[in-house]
Amino acid sequence: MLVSIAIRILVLVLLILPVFLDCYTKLLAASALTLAIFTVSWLYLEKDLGWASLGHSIPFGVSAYLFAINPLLLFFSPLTTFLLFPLSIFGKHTFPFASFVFSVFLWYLAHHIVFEGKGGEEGFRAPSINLDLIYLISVTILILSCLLIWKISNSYFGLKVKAVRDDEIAAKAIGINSLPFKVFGFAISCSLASIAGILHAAIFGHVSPGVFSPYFSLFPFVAATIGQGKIWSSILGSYTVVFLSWFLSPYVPEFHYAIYAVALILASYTQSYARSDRSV
Amino acid sequence: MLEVIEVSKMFGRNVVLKNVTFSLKNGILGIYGANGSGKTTLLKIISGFEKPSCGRVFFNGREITNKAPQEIVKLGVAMAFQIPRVFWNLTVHENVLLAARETDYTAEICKELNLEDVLFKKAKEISQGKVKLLQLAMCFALKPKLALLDEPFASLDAENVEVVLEFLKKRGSEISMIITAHRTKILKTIASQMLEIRGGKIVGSS
Repeated sequence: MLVSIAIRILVLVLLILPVFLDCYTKLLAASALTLAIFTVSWLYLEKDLGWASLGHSIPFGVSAYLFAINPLLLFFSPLTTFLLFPLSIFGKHTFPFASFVFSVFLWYLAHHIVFEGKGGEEGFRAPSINLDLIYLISVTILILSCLLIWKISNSYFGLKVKAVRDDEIAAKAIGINSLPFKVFGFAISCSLASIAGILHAAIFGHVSPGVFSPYFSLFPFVAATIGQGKIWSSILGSYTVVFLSWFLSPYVPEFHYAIYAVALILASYTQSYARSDRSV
Repeated sequence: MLEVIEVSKMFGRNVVLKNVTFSLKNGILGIYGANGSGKTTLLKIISGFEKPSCGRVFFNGREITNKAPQEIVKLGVAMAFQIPRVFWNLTVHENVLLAARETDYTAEICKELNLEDVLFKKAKEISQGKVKLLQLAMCFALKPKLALLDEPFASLDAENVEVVLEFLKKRGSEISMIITAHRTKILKTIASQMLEIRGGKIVGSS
């Protein structure tokens, strides 16, 4: 209980502190913040629906690209649900690999996206927004995302979503049609990941094929593993990965891969709802 | 209430049910037979979890053959599986609430089936016997017109068999049931009609 309160206070401090710090730290914090929203979106899909995506960079990256190509296209970003959801046809155990392979395919494809002579390997310039403003927007969206997920998760509707997660046959046996609940869950998760992608593009003013790279595909999985599948701890996990990667990369190049490796080992010891089905 | 007309089921070349025909107006129908005789498949066909290879099923005059299970539940046919299908990461209370949709009725059913002591434990944390009771609670929480109970006494100790028997006797006056078992002794104490199934065929009735 005390640890939980301490983590929440620490997260709030991490959200408020950068407002008073220099531009570079604020940029770093803003990046961590958008990736925290990204992690929260992933966590909802994994925890409440039982689908562990290793290709969550699909809604994240596609929305960032849409925003960079034309800001008005951001209204199409919730449709990225229909890029990730069809992969659920492979089933819960194959979905992580299917989504990862698809994100790698998009990573490759993104190198060849050229629009009005721009794009390709260099990517697109995204509309840049004042850092202070975008930081405040990001903080607000993170808090609203957490509230939304908490509200859905604790509602009767959310209970039905969790029922579908645990056993679709049992859900059918009590009259629950699983498809609308799955689509709803994917839509919520992909929409939040899309918002995170748009914020990411707006903060850096640039989008490159790298948004589909394994760094982003695996990021929420790594952050959630560090945070042991709890929302507040996973936000802290996002900050940990971003800050450690940025500060240690000059000394140990590509340091984030070391963190990812540790997270992969840790993951086998942490409880995952996607793998928790039990039969008697 | 229920009419099963010439239902057959084949899994590949394996014939599991052969021209099964029977009807149930109301009361409790007991179906008994050895393991693998086709009892479970028959209940799964009625509840929509399996499609018959041929034949038709009618419930209250409406054909329910090939309807989705969730649609059949809404018509008033609920199923309790032999191997329990419950929501393992939800509490017992949440499991029953999902079916009952109201807190008072959830509490009532859980009290009747002796689940009060594990009400706020997750389904994966309770004993196999209690899971079996939970499966029954979820089935009856739906307030069905017809309950299909597949081996409801299997893996229960003597005390819980009594609890279930009492519960079924009490509910039997208002809800029709089809109960399967491979032992007839308990079944005969509550069933008003009995069918014997052997090798996928109905070979006797009483």
